[in-house]
Amino acid sequence: MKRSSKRSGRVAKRVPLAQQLDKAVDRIISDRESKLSRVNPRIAAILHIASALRDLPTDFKVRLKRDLEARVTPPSLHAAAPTQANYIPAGFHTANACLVVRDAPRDRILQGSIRRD
Amino acid sequence: MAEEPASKRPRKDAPERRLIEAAQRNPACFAQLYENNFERVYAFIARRVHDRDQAQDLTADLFHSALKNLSRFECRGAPFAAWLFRIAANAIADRGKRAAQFEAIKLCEASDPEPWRDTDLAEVEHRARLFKLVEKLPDDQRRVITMRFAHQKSVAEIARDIGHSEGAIKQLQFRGLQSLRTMVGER
Repeated sequence: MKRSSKRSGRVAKRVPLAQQLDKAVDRIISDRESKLSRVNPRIAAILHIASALRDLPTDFKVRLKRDLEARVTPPSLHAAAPTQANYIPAGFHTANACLVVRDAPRDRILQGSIRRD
Repeated sequence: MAEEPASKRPRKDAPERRLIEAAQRNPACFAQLYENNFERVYAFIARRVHDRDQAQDLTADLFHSALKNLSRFECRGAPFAAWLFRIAANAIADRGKRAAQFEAIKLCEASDPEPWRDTDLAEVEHRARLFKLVEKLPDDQRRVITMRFAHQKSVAEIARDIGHSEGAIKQLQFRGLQSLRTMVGER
């Protein structure tokens, strides 16, 4: 085919390798039994990798690990685990800054007449 | 030079033996055994059941069972994976008996005492290694390879999710697979 197209002066349309590979990957994913006989030799070796990745696990590994870890940690340990100290008294949610002036006359403070210098 | 007696030579399985003994004393140490064996066990099962959900269910059952029965495991020189493969083969066969739809039913009927020997363990190891190597790919390649093969999304879907052109996704897929090929040392 290639020779005849050369002879006839036509230039065969070249499909980029990445695109050829993607088509073959589509076949691999959609049909497990698909034969990859007629592929470009340059992507044949890469397709062997693609074929092996067909069963690549998702985040299942992490989920199962968490599940197993939960099983090996007895509930009694959770209960006995020391709780973190809470330095904020229950019910208090804000902190306000305040200014303390030593020896200031009480009546003037109450009147708000002491000024910051 | 006289060769050291075999009993005094350091055993290749010594680190694994230590891990198993640690996990037998404290099940919390099972995590490392899990990390070391997850991919090969999953590859072993997925290769037989040909169904992602079933493979995940069986893998989960297997590790739960292994954790539960770890105290029964005796280190006699066989790798820990061989014990896991045996449990997997039995679980597949049991499920095959019940559902009569898996390839495993053949294993069950074959009365082979070590059914995993019939299978291509080299291929299982190859797949397990690839699954691990995907984690070492550059972020953009890993993301595309994971979405394409693990989540089985089309290039158009990935392009939409990531916000790249379809051409860019195909290139990332190409480069990702090429990188994996280089990492496993295939020519």
